Amino acid sequence: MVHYMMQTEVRIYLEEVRSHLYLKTDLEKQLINELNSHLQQKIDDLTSQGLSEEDAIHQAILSFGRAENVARLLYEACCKGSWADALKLSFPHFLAAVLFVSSPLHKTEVLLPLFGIFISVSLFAWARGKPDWLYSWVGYTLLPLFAGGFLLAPAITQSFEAIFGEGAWPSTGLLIEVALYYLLTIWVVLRISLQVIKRDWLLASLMLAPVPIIGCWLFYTQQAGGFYAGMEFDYLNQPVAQALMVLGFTSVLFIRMRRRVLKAGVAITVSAISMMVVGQALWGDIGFFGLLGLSLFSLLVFIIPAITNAAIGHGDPLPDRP
Amino acid sequence: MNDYSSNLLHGNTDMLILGLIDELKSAHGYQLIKEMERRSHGFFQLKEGTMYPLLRKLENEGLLEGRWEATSNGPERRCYLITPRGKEFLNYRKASWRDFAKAIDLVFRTETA
Repeated sequence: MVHYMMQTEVRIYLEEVRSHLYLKTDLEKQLINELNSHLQQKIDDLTSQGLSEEDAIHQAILSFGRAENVARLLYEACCKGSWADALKLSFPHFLAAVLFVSSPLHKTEVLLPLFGIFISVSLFAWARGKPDWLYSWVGYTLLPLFAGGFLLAPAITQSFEAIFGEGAWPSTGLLIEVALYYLLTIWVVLRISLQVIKRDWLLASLMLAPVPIIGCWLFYTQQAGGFYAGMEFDYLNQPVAQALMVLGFTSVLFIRMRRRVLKAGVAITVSAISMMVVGQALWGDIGFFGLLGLSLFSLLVFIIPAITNAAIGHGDPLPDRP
Repeated sequence: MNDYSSNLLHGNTDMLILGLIDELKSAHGYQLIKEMERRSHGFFQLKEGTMYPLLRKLENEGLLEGRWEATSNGPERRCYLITPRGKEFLNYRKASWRDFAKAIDLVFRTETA
């Protein structure tokens, strides 16, 4: 096969197309190669008709249309997943909802195999081309790390109290363990999240969507001393389960819809409403500003990936020879 | 091409593409655009950026099959072939179009008679 060097203007144009694609890396490469092949043929035709190479490149790009529009149409043509993919994406949410409803949350004999399944499926799908449905599984794989962070928080609180002379320092061993745990958690979460954000920040948001909901639940149970005292909070598990069920149905919509703006709109709205419902169930009537605060908190899982994506870009740079 | 023709083309591009590929046996995007323009004497001028989303949509619906082919003097090209399901869909669309055009003809003929 003879390789073609990609002209600078063509490369800039194709980079622009790809920056708005948000599809699987392999598929993006294929699409960009196909567009490049078209542009090269058009440039060849135009130069053989007497145009200078510079004019031919300019005209070829112009006749293709705005890069953002081309990318949007390609995304809409290729992004829709099958019903099987929708089920695979939503399944972890439904599983977690069942877990909350049936309340075996303190039973390690249930939790450990379950997280084993989450980790195994995540690793399996990650190694096999990272399909779109993988990311909700990854989200639940990361949850125990967040939960561990919550459970270790008293050691941090104790340290702060010691700094202000209001109590004894925790043991050095415990402090080192806690510090290592937090560093490792931050490293793992950042590393995975950055990779997912580079692929599609909206998928990263969907991956992290259960974190604020379950985070609030953990925070509340911990504040109430329940997690340590072994108290059951059945009356609180119900709204959390409902919120996770709604996230599951949102995932189905997400994978079946073609328009990206609708996907983002549905995911953001559902996350904010779920958060408000859970917040109200946990803390009772928290007023307008309380609800606003909770919905803004849930929006962080959308805002942070979007900003990060704008900063780090999408995918790797195109090679000279596609 | 005016807005009315543009709308008509928009609603029938998939049929035209499937028909051309069926006739050519295998074709790539650039070839399809040129062929459509040549056969319609320049009447059908598709926006080039819209061809590939359409081809991918038809491929995802199982009406076309894409294959990469090496070329002697350029980058690889992705060629498209019509699938049996695509042929079935094309025949259905062609028949619907003929019935529609015939009905319109009949209405106008009745008017002028």
